[in-house]
Amino acid sequence: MRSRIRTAVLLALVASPFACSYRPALFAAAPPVVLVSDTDPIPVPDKLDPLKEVYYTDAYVRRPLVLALDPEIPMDAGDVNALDEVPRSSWFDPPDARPDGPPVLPLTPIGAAESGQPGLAVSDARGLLYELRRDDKERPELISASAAVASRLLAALGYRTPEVHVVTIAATDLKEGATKLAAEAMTDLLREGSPPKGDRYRVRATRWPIGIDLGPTPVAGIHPGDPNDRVPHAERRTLRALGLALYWMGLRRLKPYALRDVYVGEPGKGHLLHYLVAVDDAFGAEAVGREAQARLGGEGKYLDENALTALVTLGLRRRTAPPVQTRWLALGEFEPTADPETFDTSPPYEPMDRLLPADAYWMGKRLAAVPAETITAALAAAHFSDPTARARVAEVLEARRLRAIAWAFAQVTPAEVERVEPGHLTLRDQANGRKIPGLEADRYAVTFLDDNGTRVAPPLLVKPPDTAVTIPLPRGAPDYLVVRAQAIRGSGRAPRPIEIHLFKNRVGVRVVGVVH
Amino acid sequence: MTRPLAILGSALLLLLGAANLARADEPTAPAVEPTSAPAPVKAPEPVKPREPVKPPEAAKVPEPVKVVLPAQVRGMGRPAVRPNRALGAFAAALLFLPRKMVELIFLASGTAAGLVRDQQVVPRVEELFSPSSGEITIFPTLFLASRQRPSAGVRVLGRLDPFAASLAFGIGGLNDINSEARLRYAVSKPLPIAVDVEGLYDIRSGLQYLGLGQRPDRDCRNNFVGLGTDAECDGKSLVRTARTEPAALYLERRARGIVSLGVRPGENFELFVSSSFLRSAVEDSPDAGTVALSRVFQPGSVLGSSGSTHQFYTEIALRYDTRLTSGRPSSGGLLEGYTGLARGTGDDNLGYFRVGGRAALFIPVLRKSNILSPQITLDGLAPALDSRVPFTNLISQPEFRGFDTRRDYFSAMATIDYRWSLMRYLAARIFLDAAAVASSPAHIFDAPPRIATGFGIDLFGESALLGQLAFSFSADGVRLLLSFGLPPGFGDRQHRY
Repeated sequence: MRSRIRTAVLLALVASPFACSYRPALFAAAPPVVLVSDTDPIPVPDKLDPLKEVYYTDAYVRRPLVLALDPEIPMDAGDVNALDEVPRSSWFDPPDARPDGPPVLPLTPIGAAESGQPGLAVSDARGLLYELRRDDKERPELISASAAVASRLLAALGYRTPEVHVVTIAATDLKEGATKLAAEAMTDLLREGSPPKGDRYRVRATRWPIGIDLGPTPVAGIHPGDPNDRVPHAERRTLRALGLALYWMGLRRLKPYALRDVYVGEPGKGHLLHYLVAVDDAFGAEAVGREAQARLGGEGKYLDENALTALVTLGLRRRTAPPVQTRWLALGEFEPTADPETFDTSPPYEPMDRLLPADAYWMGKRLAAVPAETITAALAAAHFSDPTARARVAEVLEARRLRAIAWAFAQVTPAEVERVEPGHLTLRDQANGRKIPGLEADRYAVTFLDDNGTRVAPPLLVKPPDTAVTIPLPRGAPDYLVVRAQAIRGSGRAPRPIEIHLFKNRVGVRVVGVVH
Repeated sequence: MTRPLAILGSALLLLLGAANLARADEPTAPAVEPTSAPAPVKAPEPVKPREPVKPPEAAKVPEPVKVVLPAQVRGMGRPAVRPNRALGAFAAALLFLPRKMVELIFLASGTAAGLVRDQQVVPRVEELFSPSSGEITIFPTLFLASRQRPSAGVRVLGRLDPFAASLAFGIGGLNDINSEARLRYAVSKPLPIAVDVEGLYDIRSGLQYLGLGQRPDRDCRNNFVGLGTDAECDGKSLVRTARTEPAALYLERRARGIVSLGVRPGENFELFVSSSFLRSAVEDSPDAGTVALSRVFQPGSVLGSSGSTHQFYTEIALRYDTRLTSGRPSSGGLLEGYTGLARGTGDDNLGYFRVGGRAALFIPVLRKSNILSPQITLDGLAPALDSRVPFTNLISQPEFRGFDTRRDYFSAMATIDYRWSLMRYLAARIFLDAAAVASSPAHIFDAPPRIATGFGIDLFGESALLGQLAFSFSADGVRLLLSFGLPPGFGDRQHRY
């Protein structure tokens, strides 16, 4: 008898997860939030200074183990509004900020760069702080050009990045260091790096810090000293989708100090802003030097050795790494054919591990929206001395952008609400609009649900004449109607539908929510 | 009656799930007919009118609009319910415990590196900052080794600048428990300095004592009950004919307090001063039968084999270690020396000097992550004047990777270890240890050294070893060592005796 009861209880437990059906979300009948009020005055939080050894252990050992033991699908992003867009906040989409421009001479050395990157911190004639770094001897222009371009492209996508300018300075432009450390940092800057032209040294000048540098942005949780910080960072779409942006510009190295928090404003009256600071390794700069690293015992995915081989050979087998191109010294390994799906950063970044299809699609839209003029202007700011290098970067950037967009759009039904009228809802298919091969939809399968998930009208097949998809709305539909539309392509259905939530009142029908 | 009800209940639940799935589980769109063109679109007729719903109104958003909470930003009155997520959540719940265990072990590793390492260490400046102040972490410990009681327990670590604390409890049986508390005060300026106060109480049973010497069965200093009158050891003879004598088993209860000060005056240079009070009580191990300590050795022949001892021990140690970290394979050199003095309290005429040191090189082979490491360790102990030395305080060889069963007044151990990186944070090692004990350095070569060789796999963080699996082979047998987290037997000399 007892065994039967146990069996029944076990069956009930096993069945319980299945005993629920899909029920759509219920959106408030409110205008979408376009600005998050996360800039309320707060006291200056303590500076975070995580131990880098712990960071690496966490990234490479703990997280893979924990993720392997966690089959649960990550939570939906927590920093998106009802229309599935990321509103402006201290993290994203800064208002048009007037750039401070390049540093104004003369420059006063302060000491080593505060951002954790190599280089010299200086104060310019206006008292603004910059960090100077020179290019490597073997790869003149790579660091400075990649940082100048990457910072502008990331800003065009909506990320906060410090201004980066490529400038040339003479040793006489630098005043004597006020302290011994400042003098040493200045000597290091002038001694190491690519040779000067005449008496002019090419440097990248990063406008940092713009306030009080509070150290690296916590990877997964929230900042312990910032009451404005309400979304765990691993649930921020801007951080989850960052990998696709970094793929675009070939920035694979993401060091623990790459993302930083800065306090702006007077102490007690200011707030935190969140910046992506370390962008020096774009254009595949991370791959430069890997051959030497392989010989010396460096570790990385590019090495032609696995753990079993290393075990059997006692680690004594000669390791090699594929050579990095040398045709353009201002580029590292920056190939147009790289696959966005297999792109990852070094070290891995937890929010990116939690990327969901809707997050990828959002970044695909952001990438598609970057104007060609912005890219041209970013390339001009790099001051390439070799015009073929500039042309190559432009070519690879465009190829990778298209690949990233195509991959992102393939994850969902890539449609946006164009308008809603009495009796009709019109979507715009983004893949059809860009004529992306393999993703162009020839039909849309549409279902209508009420707020409880019950079908309220027969399903439809809609054939879009071009990019517009006009969906007739059922007569007598409930006030709260959920329209689920799934693109059908030559290769089959899109992995998931777009879900549009409509609310009808005396004024008319309007969109209150979108889920991709 | 219960049986039909139970079956009916589960059947209803299953049917309910199936019905829900049939109703609108991730509603499927109409199937596509490849051969038929889509029909002209018409506005469909409503199937089932419902009462109009009223979604949460805009009034819920406060005026003026200051939105910061994720739910407000998303504008959702209610999130979606997705069956596929329920499945994932169910599976995640099943894996909760192992997942949490892994999480906690790694969370704590940063603190563990500075607070409770296998050797007393003054942390480097940056190690003092992990984990964040105010954090408390709990993690399980597990220790398994051949011929030792397995132990499982829990360790709680916390930090509130400039203090860090650790509480630990482990159990391997009724007569095998340990509890420990540590408090560390550490500052980074002007020099990294750490002051530790520790307390321990433990009971360990099944401990082995074979007697003095490299070959205890032949050593005339050991008076075995089974030998009776030992004619061979009369006069000046130090050894007797080879015999087979059993290993005696005993139980020890210890209560110990340690105060220590560590300073790192240079990047690679550490100085320690520590003082401890130890109360130790030894008795026969329960259920040892004929191999109990009192039945293997003649009464009174083993100092400290019954009753309790009380002692103070003070030690000063210097260490010069040029490795960047002892976690991952790193090149460098290590030189360490120490000296200490123990005195009994009250009427206890216990007393001895201890002195020793070790030297090691960590040489990269072809790669910086392949490290060949020769090491030599010497330890010596001498009674202070006419004082006595309990057998539990004699020199043993806890770093010998065979079985640590030899005790005497002098110990020498040479090891060679080759450790190479397999992938990030995983390394393999092969090793060869040679160890000998004797009554004095002059007799260290009287008997051949014991040899142990083996291999192992280490999981490590940047600053500490996180776990290991190792096998060693010696004349005494095969030894398996598995540890995850920190083994309870960690510690320097203050902690080992």
